[in-house]
Amino acid sequence: MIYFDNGATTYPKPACVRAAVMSYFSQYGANPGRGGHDMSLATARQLYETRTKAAKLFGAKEPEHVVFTMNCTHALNAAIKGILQFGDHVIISDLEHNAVLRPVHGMAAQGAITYTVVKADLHSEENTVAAFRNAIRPNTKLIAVTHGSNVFGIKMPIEKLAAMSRLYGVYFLVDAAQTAGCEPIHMQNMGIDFLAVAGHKGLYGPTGTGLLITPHGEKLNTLMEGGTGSMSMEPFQPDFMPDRLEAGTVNTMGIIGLGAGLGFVLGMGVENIARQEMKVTSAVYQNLSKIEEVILYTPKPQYGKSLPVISFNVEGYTSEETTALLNEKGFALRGGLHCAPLAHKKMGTEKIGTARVSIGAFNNCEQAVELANAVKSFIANKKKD
Amino acid sequence: MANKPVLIVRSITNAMRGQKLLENQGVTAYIVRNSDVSGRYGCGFGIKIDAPVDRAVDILADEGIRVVEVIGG
Repeated sequence: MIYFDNGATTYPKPACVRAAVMSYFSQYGANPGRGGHDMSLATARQLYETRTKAAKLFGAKEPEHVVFTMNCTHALNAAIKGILQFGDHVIISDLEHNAVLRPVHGMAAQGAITYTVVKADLHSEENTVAAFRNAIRPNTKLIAVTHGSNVFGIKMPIEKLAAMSRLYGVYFLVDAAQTAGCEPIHMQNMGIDFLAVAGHKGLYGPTGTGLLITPHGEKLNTLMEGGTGSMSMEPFQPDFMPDRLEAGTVNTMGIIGLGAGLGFVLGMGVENIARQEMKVTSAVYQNLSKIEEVILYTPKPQYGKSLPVISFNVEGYTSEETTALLNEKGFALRGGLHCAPLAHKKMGTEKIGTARVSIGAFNNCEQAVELANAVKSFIANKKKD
Repeated sequence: MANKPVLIVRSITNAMRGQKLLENQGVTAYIVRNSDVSGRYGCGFGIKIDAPVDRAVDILADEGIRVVEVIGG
């Protein structure tokens, strides 16, 4: 199988991640931060090391600002529902994943908040920033944007949006599900208030892991309250981080694996990973663009301007038919709407979806050629029928 | 390290970061459980140190770690 579904979750995971997960069973099987015995402290130290690596990779001030979540969706919900109060206004883009749209829309449907969807200008960052600026109201509390579209690989100008948000006293949340590990992100330098990260995509950790990184955790209303291994006599959830946002036993095995994944990314270097992935992305695009029946929706991907994600369709096939035929030929791609209906409506693909190629660190240019050959092959077979 | 002071902090994460900060400054430091189970910060963690309390508290405070109680010493 040639795996091109890294936007859903990365595969394979590096050997160090597999080894780290196994170490949970033999060395780090205690509950971290609950007991004082040697194994509990050793396990807690593994989690601390993961927090430290995440703080380093994403430019967070302290490891305490790193919260372990179940996934990026959980992180986004914790931030969105945590910071917003009744009567607040939120601004999102027209490229957002349902992980941003649904919590925002849900709160609006209950009458708690209002929101505006701003059109990202695909040709001008200045126009995009201006559009967000024009949407700000006196009660705007939060701007929440994707760092990059999980469907079309379009990057948003998050540094410029963060600077603008700061000027207007609005919190700035970045959905880095598709960019953590393959785009440089420095929260302090970029002025990001909330960063939501998937542990199992560009960070090569196991599924069931995610991160919310923020210096504002003490201000957030909590989604969940419970045991934290701290201040147990108090009936209230602690008001300090990370305990405030981590009730109950965390996914210890997953977090230890995530720590190894962070080590992998830090060792390889984010920019090296980005260059390699964009090289393969360009090869995919070039080879697909030579096929007459293939429809592409974005300009040729470029390092620094796009993500390693390409959506396409084949004339005469729905996206699900295309990906099913490619599966028969040993290729793993995702078809459909990718949980991002706003993005598909923007690009006019909401009726048939798209077949998405999402490249990871373990893909290569030869696979790009093979993919194009597979597409040519099923088109040729249909012509014969 | 018996009868040495224990600096109680708010969380295991504070304790681990605090331990590293103190060790970087040449202070021997171990993470221990808070023995005052029913206290406000009970069921938590502290850092047992082999150094003057005031110096250790200052090292931690400079890096944003609040010592909420000192036990023993």
